[in-house]
Amino acid sequence: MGILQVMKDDFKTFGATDVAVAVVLGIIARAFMLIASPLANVYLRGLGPAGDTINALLAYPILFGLVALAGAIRSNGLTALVCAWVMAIVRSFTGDPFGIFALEAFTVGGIMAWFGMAALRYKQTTVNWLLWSFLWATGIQIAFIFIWGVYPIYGSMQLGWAKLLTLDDIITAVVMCAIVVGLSRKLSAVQGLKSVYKKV
Amino acid sequence: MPKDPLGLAYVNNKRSLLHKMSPVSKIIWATCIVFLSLFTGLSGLYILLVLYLALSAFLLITQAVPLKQFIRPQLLLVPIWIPLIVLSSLTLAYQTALLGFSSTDVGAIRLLSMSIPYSKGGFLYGVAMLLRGTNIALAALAIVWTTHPRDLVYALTNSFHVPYKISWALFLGLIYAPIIAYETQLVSYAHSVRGIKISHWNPFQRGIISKYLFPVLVRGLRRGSTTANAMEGRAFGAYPTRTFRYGVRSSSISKIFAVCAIAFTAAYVIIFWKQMNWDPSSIIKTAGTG
Repeated sequence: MGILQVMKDDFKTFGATDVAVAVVLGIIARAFMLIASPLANVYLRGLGPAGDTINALLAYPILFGLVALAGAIRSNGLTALVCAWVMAIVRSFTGDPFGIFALEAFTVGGIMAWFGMAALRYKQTTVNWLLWSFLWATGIQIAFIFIWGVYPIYGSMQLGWAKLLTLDDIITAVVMCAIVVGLSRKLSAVQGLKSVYKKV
Repeated sequence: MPKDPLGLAYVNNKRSLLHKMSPVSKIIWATCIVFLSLFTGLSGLYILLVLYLALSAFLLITQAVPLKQFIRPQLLLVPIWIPLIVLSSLTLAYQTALLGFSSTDVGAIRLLSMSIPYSKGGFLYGVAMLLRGTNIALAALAIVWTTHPRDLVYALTNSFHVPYKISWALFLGLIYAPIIAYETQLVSYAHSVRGIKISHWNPFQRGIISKYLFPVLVRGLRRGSTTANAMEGRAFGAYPTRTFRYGVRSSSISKIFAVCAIAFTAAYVIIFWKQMNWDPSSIIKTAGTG
């Protein structure tokens, strides 16, 4: 079975439970971004490249972790992508100016992550989670910074290159992997959530 | 009647011009504003200010939103944006070599006997982000204030041909936001009656994730499971297309409005070509000249 076939199946089996899980985690991610968005995009980015490294430990792993968790719960990369879109669009419509950047970044990076998740779908070990998380974090960061994202708009492509050199995506991926693996195991043990975890 | 503390609710005033417009024309109009805000360079800061004033005047004169609701969400943006101007002015002064700023970029503020260095480029960048962010936020809020979420989903599905499963997820997202807020409040009450003190002003206090995130996640997912059952009971996803019970009524000037927005943006780009932010290193040039 090819990767594209897996992605096609993800789309076909994307049902009401996937929508509900994506929405719930997307809204919780948006609520988290009420604090994290100003912290990450204004206060820490205002500090320049040094602030971006702190960003990699504080704001992004939790956000990416929540979004990736949606995919992990349903074993469907599309659920994670829709979760990210819900988070970004609700942010845009509720007055967060960085919501549209997030939408653009998650559209590109999220599809990369979906692709990566499809490739690793049948072997979800911690190492594979780490690889997938790295792909997710790096994909979004590259889309966010270089395509038409934050740094060209802020005015300095050099800031983007400086950020890439801090290797903060690796830090983000490691922290995010720990969050997803830890929370996924904890949540799957909750009796009341069995119906969400069981793929129909 | 439930209160709207953030001022983000839909305003039910069908007599206003923006309420009569179709959601598609409003999305096109808002996209034009976002485009103009992002691509106006640092040398055109006054244009961003004029754009903000024009947008505000249009919303208030056409009575799209009451003054109180217009101000409330924007006040929330002040503590977000003002520190950006201060922080970037002070911190970028120490990173001029990394950013490629010229030595003339760094100035000094005299405060008592101290001399505090600041970056002129950093200050300009902070002001530009303030104006860009406010314009983008106002354009997005104008859609939320004047468009019912149901009409937005209708427009996304029928006009932009977004798969209805995905546009339905966005609709559900707008509905679920207050539900998750309510769940958070319930968790907060549950902690209070058990004598656990949680400060609402300190997001970094110890145990905040285990006390709030985990219970809200579990309760939210359980609600999501119930919602999913209800959706499946109504044959969600059984057919590739969806029939809407209500259509969107829009004024005949919607198309004219959208065409005018695109024409204005095109004219703006042609007239103010030099002040557009096409060159990513424009801040360096601006700072270098300052």
